[in-house]
Amino acid sequence: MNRLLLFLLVSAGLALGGCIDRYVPDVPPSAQANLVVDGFINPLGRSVIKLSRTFSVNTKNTAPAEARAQVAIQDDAGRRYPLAENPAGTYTAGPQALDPARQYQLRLATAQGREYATDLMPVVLTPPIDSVTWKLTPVQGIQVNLTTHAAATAARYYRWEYDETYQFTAAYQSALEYEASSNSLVQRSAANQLFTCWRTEPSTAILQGNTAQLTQNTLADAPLLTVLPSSKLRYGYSLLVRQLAQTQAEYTYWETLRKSTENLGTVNDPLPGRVTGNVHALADTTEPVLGYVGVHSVAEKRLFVDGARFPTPRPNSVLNDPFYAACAPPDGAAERSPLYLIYLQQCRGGFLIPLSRDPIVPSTIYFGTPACVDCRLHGTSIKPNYWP
Amino acid sequence: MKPVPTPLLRAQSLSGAALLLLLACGRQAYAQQTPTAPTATLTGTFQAVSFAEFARRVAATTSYRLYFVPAETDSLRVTLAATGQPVPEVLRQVLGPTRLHFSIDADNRVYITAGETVQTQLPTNFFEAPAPALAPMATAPASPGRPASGAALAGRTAPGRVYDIGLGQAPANGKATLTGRVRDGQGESVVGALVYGELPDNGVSTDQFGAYTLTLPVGRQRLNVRSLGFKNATRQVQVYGSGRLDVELEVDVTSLKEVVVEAEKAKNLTSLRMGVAKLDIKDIKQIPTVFGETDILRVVLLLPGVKSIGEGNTGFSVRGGGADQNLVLYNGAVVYNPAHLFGFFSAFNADMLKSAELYKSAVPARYGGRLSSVLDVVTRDGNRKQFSGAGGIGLLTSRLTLEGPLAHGKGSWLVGGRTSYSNWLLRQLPNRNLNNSAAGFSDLSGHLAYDLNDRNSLYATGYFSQDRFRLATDTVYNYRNLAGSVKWKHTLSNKLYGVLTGTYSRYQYGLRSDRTATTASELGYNLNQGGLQADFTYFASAKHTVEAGASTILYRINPGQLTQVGDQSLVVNTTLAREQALESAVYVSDRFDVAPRLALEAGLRYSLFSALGPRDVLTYQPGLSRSEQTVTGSTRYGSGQALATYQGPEWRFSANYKLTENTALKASYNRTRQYIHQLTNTTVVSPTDNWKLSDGYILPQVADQLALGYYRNLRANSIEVSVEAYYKKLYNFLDYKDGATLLLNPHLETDVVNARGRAYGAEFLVRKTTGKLNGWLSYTYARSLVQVNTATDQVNSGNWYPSNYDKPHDVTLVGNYRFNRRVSASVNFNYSTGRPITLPLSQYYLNGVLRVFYSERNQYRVPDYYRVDLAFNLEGNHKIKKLAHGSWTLAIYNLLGRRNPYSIYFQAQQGQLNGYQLSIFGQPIPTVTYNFRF
Repeated sequence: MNRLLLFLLVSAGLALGGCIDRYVPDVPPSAQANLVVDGFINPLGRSVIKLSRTFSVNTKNTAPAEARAQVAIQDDAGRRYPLAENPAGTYTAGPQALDPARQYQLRLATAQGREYATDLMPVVLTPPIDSVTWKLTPVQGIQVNLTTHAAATAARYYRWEYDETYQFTAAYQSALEYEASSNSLVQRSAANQLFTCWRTEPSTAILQGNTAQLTQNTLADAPLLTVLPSSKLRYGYSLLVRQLAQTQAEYTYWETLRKSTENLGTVNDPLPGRVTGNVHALADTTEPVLGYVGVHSVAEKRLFVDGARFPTPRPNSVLNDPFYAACAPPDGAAERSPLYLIYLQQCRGGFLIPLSRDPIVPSTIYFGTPACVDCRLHGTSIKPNYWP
Repeated sequence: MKPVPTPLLRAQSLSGAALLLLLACGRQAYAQQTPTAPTATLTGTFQAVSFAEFARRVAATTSYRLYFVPAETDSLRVTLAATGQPVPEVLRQVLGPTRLHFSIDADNRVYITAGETVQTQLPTNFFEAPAPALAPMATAPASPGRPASGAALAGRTAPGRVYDIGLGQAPANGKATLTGRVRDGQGESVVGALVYGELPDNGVSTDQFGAYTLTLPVGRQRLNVRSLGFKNATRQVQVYGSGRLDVELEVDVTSLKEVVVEAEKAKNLTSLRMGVAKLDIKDIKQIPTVFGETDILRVVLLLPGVKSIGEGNTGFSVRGGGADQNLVLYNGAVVYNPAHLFGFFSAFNADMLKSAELYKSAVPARYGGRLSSVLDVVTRDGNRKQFSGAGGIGLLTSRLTLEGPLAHGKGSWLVGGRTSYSNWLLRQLPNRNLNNSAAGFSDLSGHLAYDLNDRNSLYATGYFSQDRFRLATDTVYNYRNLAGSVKWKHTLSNKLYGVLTGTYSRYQYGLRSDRTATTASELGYNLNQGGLQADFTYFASAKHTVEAGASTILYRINPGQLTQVGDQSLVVNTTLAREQALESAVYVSDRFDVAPRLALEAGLRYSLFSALGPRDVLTYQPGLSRSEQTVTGSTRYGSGQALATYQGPEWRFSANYKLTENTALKASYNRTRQYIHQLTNTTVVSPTDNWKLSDGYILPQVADQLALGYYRNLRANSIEVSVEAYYKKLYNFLDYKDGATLLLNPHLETDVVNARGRAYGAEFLVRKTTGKLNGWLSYTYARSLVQVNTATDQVNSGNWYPSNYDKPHDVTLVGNYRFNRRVSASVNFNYSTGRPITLPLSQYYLNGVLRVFYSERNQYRVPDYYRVDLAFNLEGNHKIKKLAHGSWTLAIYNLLGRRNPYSIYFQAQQGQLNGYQLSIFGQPIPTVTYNFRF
């Protein structure tokens, strides 16, 4: 809206526009550090619950973990399934099969002795994902769609998470390797290669859908995400989609959370609200506790897109990649020259990585910085087992 | 009939002050006469005596009395010897060489005038049937007309005539009732003109049809008529009994401001109403606005006690009330969304309008249905004399208005339209996203006025507006307003008249989305209301004016309809059950002038509301927050069956006590009830805001307001100072649960909560209405608080918290400076406390993503708001004969370029939380508009 107006006015010959500025709220340091309960009860697998505290918006701290709490899943008959802590703040219950006919809740007591519990909730079993498909978009990116279906009486509210994995290469390939024992350069083994890596990024946006308004509990080719043409789409791209069916209450919680943290910035914003979930302090019901612990299983499906199927010319990895766009050309040094010996010392310290010999002047050896050579800084050099 | 001799002089040559001098001088001459036997001839010798001395001696020795203006005769020296000469002959001798004339009436009174000769006899056909046209003023000042109990036409060309009212009647108690209408030169009725006898205190204002009813003592007196934008008119009346007098006013083009003062002055202190602001379109046009478009709603926002909801938005909050608590009437018909293009333009074409009146506290009993205020927008009547038009060409919009007479001046028509060309502009843009966008609006309005006869008049108004926009996305929004009204005014007697009004309003919007084939759909909403209203005004006596009436409104709302678009769409066609309801009211009010200084008005409106079936109403477990989980079943109500009925009295009291000649104290107490609610969980009005009728769960909103005011006029009424304070309590207005779903929700009661509110504040206003420099300065302190603390739902733990409209401090300055008759400059200054906001307090990781934890609702505030605007108006030349009269407006909105936050929001970007403020008009916006009329 604002952009439209801006264009309208500029095109009308007016020197003006709307503008967006940074805004730093003047909020006193919040004394309260509220408990955050992150995770869900998986009736068909491992349940992982992370406990932490909120922290000020003005700091870049990581969330303080809530350690040494007693956490357990409890069913409506009072049976408890305790969760073990490892590492601090992360509580895990081993793979288990809970009775879907019963209702479950999470109960916990902090090290200070404050007790919390969720409401009792029914078990929601997630239907399998029928398919995850992709197609090219007009701008040479890809659009990923998902199809699923379930019985009309089953849960009609869905949430999705995904992990994107893509293959990429470093700016410069290293064919040589520094050997500390001999203080010399040797040929790099394939197992130690630093050039080709795979990076995995989890989803950050809340993705939800429902069939409540549809005649069938079916989602056909529902748009899941759009990937713009970038280095992600050069050598190969894979997407692991996790589907979570949920109750309407849990769906509403995530929708509210999405609206108040993601869907803002337009002229007609909904009012952000205080989003608290289904966890309550037993002693004080007014204490805000964050997070929603649902009871549902997970269905997964992986999509793989071979790089060869992307249209050519493909996006240039180096220029389109924020990791390597700033890489300077590698430096060369003649073998046994003083500079070469200095470079060798820097290789020992890990500040440089030998690349290769000059094809025309073999005595010249090139060196590069790890930031431009070692792809493992941004991913893993071990090919995932699902990669062909 | 014996004509009363009155010195009748050309207005141009004799000012009112000179007239008084003449009369005073005349009396003096009379007092000096000696009681010798009067004769018809003059004998005596005069040697260079002054004319005054000459006159004294004539009076002393003859039966003639000379009346003259000393200033006109002080250079005259009389030298003559007379022996028994007739006085007329002597006068011919004396005055012969000068430019002075004289005339003598039957009682031997001699009128000496410069220029024109005073006529001392009526034309021979004076008592015959009325002449077809007024006689030219210069030669026959006493215009022919119909005297006595019939209607006397008092055209503006007959200022000095004496009108006999109610001849042949015997008034009961020495008082008589005078009725009539005030029109301007083009035959349009003049609303709000002050009509009074010798003193403004016993004056009345003309009603919406220009009609007035005034009680006067029997006898000879002056009747004064004053109104903004018109020259003051005075009529000499000889009242024998009740009768009728129509007055035509002359438009005052050049000394507009002076006239405004007089009218406002009288109103300010004598009106019973408090918390009323009347805006004349001429005032409105001087105030600088964004895009150079005259915008009545934006000027309303500058009044004390009225707060904007957001920049670029015409939604407003009056004294802490919600945006839906304002009744916006367009000639009596309700307009639900009075804004174009998300609120950047007002939906009313300024050329069509006559005035807008905003009632903030003492709401008259004839209005009802909204809690906070009534904005009564009135269109002009068309020109009854000739075809004419007006228009404007701006950067984004253009408008045209045409008008003319109907049936030989018995009526008039007026049609105005406005359209934007932003669609065309968008298509010219190189950006593909933007030239796929569309944003356009238009509105059309028409008005007819027709006098069937003296006692019956008909008025009809129609209004249509439409908006359509698509913003580089796949969603197309559109909305439309339709409003119409028909009024029949019938005068039953001099003391009683009635108005029957039929109204119809419709508001609809649509939202079409076709991004994915399986979910392509169209959402529609519409609201219809038809109403019938009868209002009667009875002038019971000089001390009592009674108004009474009844109204009924039938609402029909289609709260939502989702239909699939295309073959592949899997969307279920959903239609929410239609809501309907009947809202009726009766009212009576009496204005009682207890004493010259004290006036009271007491009114009672009793309203009755029934939500009607057919409807299925869900039932919920008692004692629990209503949600889908607590539904127990549903109850079926048949067609026309009342599923909920609410009723209650609405008291309207006001009092005015004049402490001194120029100070007054006023008080009012009001109760208002509202049965229709707007649903919006955004702070600003958007077209997808639904209106919802009260039902079994959503109770009617009720408000009580107590207000006190002190008014004082300074410097010969050129400066008005006032202080108004109020305390207001609101019950059952709607607030929302977090994450409420408002669209296509068949059971809204699960997403809303009934809130209580209280608001209080004081408004200080200094207004200068005369002179080259005029305008107003106001300061408002106001609080508006909300509490949601029912047994089942709480917001902010059930504590009081500031409402979205709570802006405690507000300073507004509106100033105009007229350099000369063609160039004027205006400046606006506006400051207010930032509105409340719900701020992020802390952050946390959930599922690997940084999220925000917000403060309690409305716990913090956005930065303060201030803005300065500047405008120059350049009038064209004042030649009467030319094709069109044009004027230019150059305006700069937000002169200082302050980036006032319109919206503040936070976004999680790459694991970090960033706060942003969006300013819509973040830089100075210059505009040029050309206006014309012909």
